[in-house]
Amino acid sequence: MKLAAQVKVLLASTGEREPFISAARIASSPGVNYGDLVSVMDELRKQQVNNIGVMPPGSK
Amino acid sequence: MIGANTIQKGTFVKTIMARSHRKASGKKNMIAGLMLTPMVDMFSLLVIFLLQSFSASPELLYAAKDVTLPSAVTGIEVKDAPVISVSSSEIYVDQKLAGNLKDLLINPEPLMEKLGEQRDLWLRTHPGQDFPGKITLQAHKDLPSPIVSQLMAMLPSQNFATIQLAVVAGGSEPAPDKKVE
Repeated sequence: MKLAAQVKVLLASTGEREPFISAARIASSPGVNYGDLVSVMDELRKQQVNNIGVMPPGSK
Repeated sequence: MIGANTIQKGTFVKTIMARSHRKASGKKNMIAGLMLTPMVDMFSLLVIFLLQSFSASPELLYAAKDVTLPSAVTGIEVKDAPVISVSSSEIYVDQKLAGNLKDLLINPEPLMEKLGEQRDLWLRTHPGQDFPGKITLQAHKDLPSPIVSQLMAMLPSQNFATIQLAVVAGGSEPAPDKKVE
């Protein structure tokens, strides 16, 4: 939940500019569990970012 | 004279006597009429009710054992697709055990075979249609995210490119729908 809150703050800091973020890539980290990953995706979807990709471990 | 039938007095008396005799001996003379029109009406209403209630309800997902789903507010209705369930120790494909989680991460061949079977089954049951490549992922919320993303990266190799993440609805709708790159 803490991570999702950080994403929310980050998205809010981009302001009212258009076009807004349309896609996102998420790189998973060993310190983050799946529940937090989903909550970050949920936060992105709340901000109308529907094109979300999850990067496999080790990819850049 | 009643209608076209003539009831003779002697016959009528005999019938009444026989009936009263049967009653006295404890046997009931059961005569039941079946009203077909109301019965057909009632069944028609029942069929319409059942059709409406099943068509209005979304697909139901069976939560796998030892899997606590994460929650999310945003999401869409669950679409019919094969389900891969990942608990903290095992992986199931459509409620059938595919193997141990750690073993499958090292050697994913048995999991790929099961997924291939699911894809082939769909293609057999939907001849002439393009494979939609949708799969629903149920994963335990406390699993490390790299394990889940590693599994997600394996799925496109069996043509499952659209992964629906099963979640518990924090708001009103379940399951976000997303594509893996």
